[in-house]
Amino acid sequence: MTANDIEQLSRDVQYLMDRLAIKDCAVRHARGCDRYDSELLASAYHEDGVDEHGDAINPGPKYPEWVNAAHQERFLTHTHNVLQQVCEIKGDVAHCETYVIGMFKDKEGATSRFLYGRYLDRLERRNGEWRIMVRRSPVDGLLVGDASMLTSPAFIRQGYVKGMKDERDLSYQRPLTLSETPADRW
Amino acid sequence: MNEQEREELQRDIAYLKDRQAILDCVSRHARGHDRHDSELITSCYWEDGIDEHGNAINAGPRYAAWVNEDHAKASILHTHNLSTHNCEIDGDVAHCETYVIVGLLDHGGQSARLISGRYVDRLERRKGEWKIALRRSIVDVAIAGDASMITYLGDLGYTHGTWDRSDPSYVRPLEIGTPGVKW
Amino acid sequence: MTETETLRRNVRYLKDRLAILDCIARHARAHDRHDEALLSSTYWEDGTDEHGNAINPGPKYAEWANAVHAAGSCLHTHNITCHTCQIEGDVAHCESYVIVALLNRDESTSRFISGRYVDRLERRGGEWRIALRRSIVDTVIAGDASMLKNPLFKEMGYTRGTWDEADISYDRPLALETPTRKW
Repeated sequence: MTANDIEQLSRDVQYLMDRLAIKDCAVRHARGCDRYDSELLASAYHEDGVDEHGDAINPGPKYPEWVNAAHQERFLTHTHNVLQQVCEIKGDVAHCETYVIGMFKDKEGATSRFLYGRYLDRLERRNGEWRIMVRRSPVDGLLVGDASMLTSPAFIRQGYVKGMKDERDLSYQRPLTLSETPADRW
Repeated sequence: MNEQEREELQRDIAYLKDRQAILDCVSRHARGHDRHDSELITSCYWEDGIDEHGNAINAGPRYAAWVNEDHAKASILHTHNLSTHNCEIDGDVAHCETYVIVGLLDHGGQSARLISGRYVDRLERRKGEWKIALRRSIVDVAIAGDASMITYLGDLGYTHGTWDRSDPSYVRPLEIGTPGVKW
Repeated sequence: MTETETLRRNVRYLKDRLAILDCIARHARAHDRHDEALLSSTYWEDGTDEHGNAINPGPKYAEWANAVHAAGSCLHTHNITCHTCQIEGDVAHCESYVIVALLNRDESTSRFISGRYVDRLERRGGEWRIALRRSIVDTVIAGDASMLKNPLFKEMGYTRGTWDEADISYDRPLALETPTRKW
């Protein structure tokens, strides 16, 4: 194999690694939100990165504090579901659009809401790491529905594990085993 | 690295590239839908490609016009959210199934619905490019709900998408503060 | 590390990440087609699945899942979204968000359950499969699905999914002429 061949293959593979790293960054962010994991959340932004959620504009490092408080105030549980990502990379700068579905169980009552929108990101690679420089968050729709299933006897009988807002969440357990359940059940 | 290892490496890389290219094609299609971007939608099909959405069977090049009109009749904004993706490649032909949850805001903005379904695709690679040769669409589940509280998003300053190039997703480079349409 | 060694390590990593995600996507698909063989193929023989109090050995999970799904719905989709994966040698720990959309047996109402699969996968003989899966439920939204019974919707002639190999996603090669079950 010639040096040129290796170079071309390396470029191809670097592109695929970059795409994966950029997707992982968006997923890390979502997970950070849902687990109230400030360190993980902050790691998605560069120190000089900026996040925009409507009128709330936060420097990257301050975003975890803002979003954790906002979520905690209104919702019992939530999931930020990151879906497909369209991405353009030019050197060390990437622009991407990542679809997201947010599901939120209201703190009061038996309702929940389903929001859908997109994260528009400009990321930069520094020292081999891709992180967000600018994030904008258009919301394209929502609907409200019934969440009473979560308190129904039929559901509670099934004994499902709940998500936790700290390291008791099962997703932190290493190695994952059946013998311990630090998390609560519904 | 010996000959066999070199060939295996090249095969692996080609496979990984194909998988990414196929998923990107399907993802671009979803984006095209949501921005009513006819050029982008059309670029996902071969000229002799076919799209089936129920009784509506459109030749690839005609699909964009049909779907933009259909979406406009049925809603004022929508997103096509792609999730579970399975893909089998056999030479220059790929069969894939991609789950989609379509969110549609009804005319009047007071209600919305989600349609959960799947795109079942046969893509073909011609001259190194993967595009849709045949797409068949399935609807599995749906839900309708109240969307009237969406105005609170306006109070918080959130913007929403548009059906043209003024959508903020087209802006380069992306910056905070470029104008957007608020709820 | 030489350029070649870096290349091989990265390709190995990309292949593993894709194989692991594929395993989870295959599992989701198998659920929705009630495909016992496919579902079982995603677990090791000594693998275990936990869904609340229901703990099933890998090979028995499909039977349990199909029965539970059939008792509680008439169609469903398992939509895999956020996927986090950490690989250490032959063991991977992942978390995959899932939105499960279920059409209730009345075909008029539905529920979308949001949760997460927390998995430990193992690679044996080059193949990644689930050694342990634990399931978490985070939230739910339930509502009206009667649009699926609306004559205006039925007129559109959309295909609906089935719980067997008549589902169009099995068609090879995918053809427009292959008949499907309609709403």
